[in-house]
Amino acid sequence: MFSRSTNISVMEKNWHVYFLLPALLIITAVSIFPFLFSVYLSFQQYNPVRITQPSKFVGLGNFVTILKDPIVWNSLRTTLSFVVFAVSIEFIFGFAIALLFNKEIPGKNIIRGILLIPMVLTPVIVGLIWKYLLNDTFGVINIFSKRLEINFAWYNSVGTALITMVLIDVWQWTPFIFLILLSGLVSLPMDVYESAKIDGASSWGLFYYLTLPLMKRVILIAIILRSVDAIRIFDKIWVLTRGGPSRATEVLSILIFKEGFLYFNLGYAAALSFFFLAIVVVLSFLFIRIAKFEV
Amino acid sequence: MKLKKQKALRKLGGYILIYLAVAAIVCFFMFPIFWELLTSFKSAKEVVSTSPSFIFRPTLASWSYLSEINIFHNFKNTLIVASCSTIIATLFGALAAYAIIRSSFKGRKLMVFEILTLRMVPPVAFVVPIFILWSKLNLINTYQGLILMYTAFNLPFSIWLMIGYFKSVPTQIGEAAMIDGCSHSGVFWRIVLPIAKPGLAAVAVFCMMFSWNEFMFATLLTRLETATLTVETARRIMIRTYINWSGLAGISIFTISVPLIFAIIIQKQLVKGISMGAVK
Repeated sequence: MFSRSTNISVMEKNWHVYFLLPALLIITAVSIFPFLFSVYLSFQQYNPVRITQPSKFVGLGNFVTILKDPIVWNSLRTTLSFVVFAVSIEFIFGFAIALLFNKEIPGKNIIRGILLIPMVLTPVIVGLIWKYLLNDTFGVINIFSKRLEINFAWYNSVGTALITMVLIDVWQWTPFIFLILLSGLVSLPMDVYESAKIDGASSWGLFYYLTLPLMKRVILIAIILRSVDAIRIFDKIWVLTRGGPSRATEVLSILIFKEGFLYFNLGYAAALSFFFLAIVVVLSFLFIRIAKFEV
Repeated sequence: MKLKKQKALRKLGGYILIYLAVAAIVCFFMFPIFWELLTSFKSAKEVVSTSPSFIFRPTLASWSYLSEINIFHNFKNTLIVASCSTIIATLFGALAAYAIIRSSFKGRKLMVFEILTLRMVPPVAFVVPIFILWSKLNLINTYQGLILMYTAFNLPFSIWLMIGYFKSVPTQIGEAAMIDGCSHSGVFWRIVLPIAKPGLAAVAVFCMMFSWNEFMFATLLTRLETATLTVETARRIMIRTYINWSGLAGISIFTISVPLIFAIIIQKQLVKGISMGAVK
């Protein structure tokens, strides 16, 4: 009897350990450990395909190459342009739709459900569908735009490929921002608006001086969440252009993937992914700083 | 009298504008899917014609193509991998989230921070080491390998969502039960978990959708036997010579049908999950 109650109390006392263990084990094994391995890799030049000396210790050599490589900087520029353009357009578009939906519209819930759909679709399929829609010869949208005298090369030309990717991302992810902003709009206090209207405020005034400031926190969260997701884009671009005509759409994920699994420079790819990680961390810190400052 | 009529007309005009705007928005977001659905019923010639139309004679050519290439093999693979990783991630995530909320221990804040940052990290960062490690551990082209991967990716999200959900479950019930002699795990399994069913459902749907739609790791960690739908689809688009757009149309609708059905069924929870995750 005595030993039995001791056993129970030990398990009870540390119950949280048992609860946490399974999740922690998996996360450590699949995230933490590989991460550390990646650090080790980034200091090597590791190319398993090379028969003579597949791995060679180069210290910071990879990182030096990265900082000097114009392809890397091009990729960084491409990635950041993509994120900035995509998120801005999604924000403006999403906010507009949210404002629209804040009014009384019959069938609001059904339509909101419909707008959910682009977000849940497989990115590979989204890429496929748009590759078909914008195809040079038989793509519906392309043919339609040509009839309107607009000759847009979509994903086939260096100048327009990235914009095309932005458009596709806007198509898929505007509803995300729309949903977040709508939930924010819905929870705004009505009485402030009532008294402002009584005082004769215009619609624009109401928006600019009331809605925007009140929504600051939600807006920031929407933009941060969307940006963190946008920066990792891979599937859609891989399926559409694989990095685009002359690296026009070669975002960082694509570059890392290519270096690692097309050219098998695994050490360099590991170093690149650190570079990428560092950028994401810096951007996240910046965002959090701004968020704390504003809110 | 005239002023009243003018006001009424303006209101009507306003309504019409709003309806037009909503209609335009719905068309914009639905058109690509609608067109692809249409395409899946067209013959191979019509699919690549330079003057596409809405009116045509429907055929099931692209759908019978699906069984020709045995897409069900890939469907089975995706289903197995997605459901296993979902079940494990939801369960382990709920356990971990409950422990984080209902107990205080050293390093708790650090753990929460770690979990949050994991969600922010782009998957590319893990691609290289995981590939090498999985190769060495003979986990390539196995279900376990991919399931392990997806579970690890779903866990931070699952924990995060469940923390938010458990916070809204009152502690009194659990405390009352413990006074009556119930253990912590008893409270969890018999009281809290049943209450948290909607939250669990939402987490499960999110995990399922993520695993179903994933491509990058699937393409690296699987080969012919375990290839998922996304991998197989991408493989067919990447062919440099002749792309079978007609067949691909059928494959795409087939692939997106699952997340689509989930989304329609679990609409409310999806919206709740997204806005809750944002408004915290």
